[in-house]
Amino acid sequence: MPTKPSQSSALAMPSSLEGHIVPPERLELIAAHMHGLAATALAVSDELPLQADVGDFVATLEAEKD
Amino acid sequence: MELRSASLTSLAAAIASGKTSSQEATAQALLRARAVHEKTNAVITFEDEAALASAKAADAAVAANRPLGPLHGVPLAHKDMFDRRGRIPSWGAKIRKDVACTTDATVIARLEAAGSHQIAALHLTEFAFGPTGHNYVLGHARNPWNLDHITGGSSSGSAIAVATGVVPAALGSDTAGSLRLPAAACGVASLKPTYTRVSRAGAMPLSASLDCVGPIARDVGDLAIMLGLIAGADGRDGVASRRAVADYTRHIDEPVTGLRIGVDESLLAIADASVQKRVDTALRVFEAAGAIRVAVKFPDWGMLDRLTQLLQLPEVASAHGRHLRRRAADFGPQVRARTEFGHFVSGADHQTALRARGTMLRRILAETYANADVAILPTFADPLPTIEALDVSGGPQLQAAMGRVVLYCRPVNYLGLPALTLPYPRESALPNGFQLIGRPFAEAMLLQLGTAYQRTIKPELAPLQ
Repeated sequence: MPTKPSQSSALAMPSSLEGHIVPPERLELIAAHMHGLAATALAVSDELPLQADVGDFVATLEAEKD
Repeated sequence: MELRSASLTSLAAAIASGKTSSQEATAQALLRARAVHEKTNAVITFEDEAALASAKAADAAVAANRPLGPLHGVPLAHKDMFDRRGRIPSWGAKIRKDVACTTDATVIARLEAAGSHQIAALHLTEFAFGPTGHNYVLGHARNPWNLDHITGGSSSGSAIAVATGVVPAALGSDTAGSLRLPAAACGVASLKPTYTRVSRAGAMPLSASLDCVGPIARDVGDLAIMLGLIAGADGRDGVASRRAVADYTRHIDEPVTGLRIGVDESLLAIADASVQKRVDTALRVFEAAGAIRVAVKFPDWGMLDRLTQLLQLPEVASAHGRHLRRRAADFGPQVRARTEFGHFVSGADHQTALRARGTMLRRILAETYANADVAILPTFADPLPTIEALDVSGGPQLQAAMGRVVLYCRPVNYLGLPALTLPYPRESALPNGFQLIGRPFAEAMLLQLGTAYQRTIKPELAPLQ
């Protein structure tokens, strides 16, 4: 099971926001939501074949026979 | 000729034969657009002068017996998110006030090459980033069947314009349900194509891994015509498939006998009981036409939904974060809050969602679609809510409320599959709709099923006068 992100790391403002202030109440909502998404990513990542590649998706679409 | 209820094909034929003129059709469409807009907020920009000039030129071409395109002289209107030379698409936002476009979006250029012209640029959710039709900077869209209810989004104006007979068809886009939800809410049809089927060049980017452009129409045959015109390879969009474009009208009238429609009962059970019943009613229409109901099972839908968000949220933040950093006050509260989320997704998690996509799709094609040709799901999980009920702005209910609205739609974008939305057989004054989800590039089969369905469940105009 993934570990829960620490409060401080969950609330850290990313540099991509470059000074845009997210109010504390929204940060809490974001942290809670991101925890669920990160847990899914971790679980999927653990099961994903190492060779899985970003290009597989379009290749699979395009491999469909007419 | 009753232009309000005319299909794309019948209107084009009437103009080409001189039974009606493009100027008459265009003038009537503009009049209707104004009347509809007054009640529904469907239009962002009216384009009377340019539209009437195009119509005049179209009529001159008919009079001179010049070769005519398949949509010659037909007035259309599209979601205000496509580049058009000399114009500034609003993207449903306050942000865009500066530089005019120097080229047309590929889909716009292709529809113009077919002879159509645009009468108005239509309402959308701010940055096409919202599934309900709420727009906190330009005003909310109102449902033409009942003005208190949502239109669905983000292609809200396109669905209203088609539902009210302003135009027979319109373009929209779909990143997480934005063609399907408004079509369902406004009682019309839409086709979200396979991810690579239609070029997105010149369409406002929202989430590049998920964005699709497609048509909304009342008549399934009109969806087929629109898709045939806009689909195909495009040097301006490296993702656009080089696969040949089918003639989507060719087999559209063939019987659907024996086609298998997959139902995932456990996934369907998440929907409101009344919605489950309406899906069953729609299935009975297909069964009466010869299709077969079969059981299927999708993998963990919640997992697919979270993987979709891991693509969508950071990609939105990347595309529109610059506006958030510099002009946050010009954002509506809902889109501002939603755009903030993506800045907190890690690069590793975004990459995992991208890498897992091919694996998930292969698994679903091999397992879920092993014994089914298409799958059926609701478009909305619930009866159509009111504007007030979903007026959550950027508050604490935002993610849960929006998540419930897109529940059945968002993972379809992750999988890149085509989806046809149709209205349920009507049981009340409010429409709603379901989606048929096909294998990659199975648009022709979806349209064939849709045509069979519309032999029984005829397209309707919204009662708004």
